[in-house]
Amino acid sequence: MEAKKIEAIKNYLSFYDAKYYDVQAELIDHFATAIEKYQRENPELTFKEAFMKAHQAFGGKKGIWKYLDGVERDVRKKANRMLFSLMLKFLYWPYILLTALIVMGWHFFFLNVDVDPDRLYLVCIIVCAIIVWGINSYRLKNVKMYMPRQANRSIFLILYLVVFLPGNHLIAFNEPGHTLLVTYFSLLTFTYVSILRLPDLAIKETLKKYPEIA
Amino acid sequence: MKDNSLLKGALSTLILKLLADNGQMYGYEIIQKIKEASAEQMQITEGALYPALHKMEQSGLLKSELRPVSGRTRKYYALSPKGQKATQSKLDQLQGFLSSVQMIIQPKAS
Repeated sequence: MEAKKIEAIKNYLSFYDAKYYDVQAELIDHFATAIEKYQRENPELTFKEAFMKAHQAFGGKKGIWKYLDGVERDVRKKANRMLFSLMLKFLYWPYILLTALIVMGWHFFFLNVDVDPDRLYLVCIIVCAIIVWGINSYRLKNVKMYMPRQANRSIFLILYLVVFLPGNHLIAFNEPGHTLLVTYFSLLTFTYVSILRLPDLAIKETLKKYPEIA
Repeated sequence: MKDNSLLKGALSTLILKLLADNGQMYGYEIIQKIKEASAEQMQITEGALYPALHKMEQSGLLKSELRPVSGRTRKYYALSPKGQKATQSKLDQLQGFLSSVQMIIQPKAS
């Protein structure tokens, strides 16, 4: 199929928010193959007519949305798995050193600084979450790949759970040894650091699958 | 077949069977094969096949490979070792289910 026609399929898919190569590639081939088949069967058919036929057979706009929903669900699962694997690294060498530093840091912080944990919690959810989101969004600004961008969006559910589950009641955790507070804030730090590392991993995964993007 | 809900439960098994018989296939090819093999009785909505393929790939039943084909990229699916192992048991399950259905809807014939 001519490049001009492939471009027309790309434009059509971009209209449905499938504008990046890693989510378009399979759909482009599907539509191109279907159009070629219809035109082979009926040479009278124009590109536009064959295209409309392919669109209907795919399930129309609902078909495209269903496809994209499926891809989004897959990416969400993949992103969760990647985030989990990044967090798990904190238990292994050499990251275990960083884990020790973070835990000790929070331990000494709570031991020496008299701070209301609920205020600290608010700072963590408002300031740190915005910073992490801002940094990732900036880094992904010029990345023309669906998977890393969607992965960055999808982790907000995890962030929401980690951040909001304890509610504004951390003062209740504030026993003399500060064990629960140190554990919670250390876990929060691991989550933030892992989220910051997620785009690089997602880009690497996408490039491994679609090397032509590079 | 007008009622696609009947096909939904069997789709992954049909995909496994087709890939076991044909080796590597791409999405559109799978759709056409299902239509052909069922004498156009199974009218699968094309958009519905891909989420099933992606789900099976995620669960490790399928592996995929991208190849350039006349100015575009084509994604070929094939059975993974896990998928090869699962095919027969899935087919047996489907066969068992169909026999049970047959026993219920046509008790004398069975």
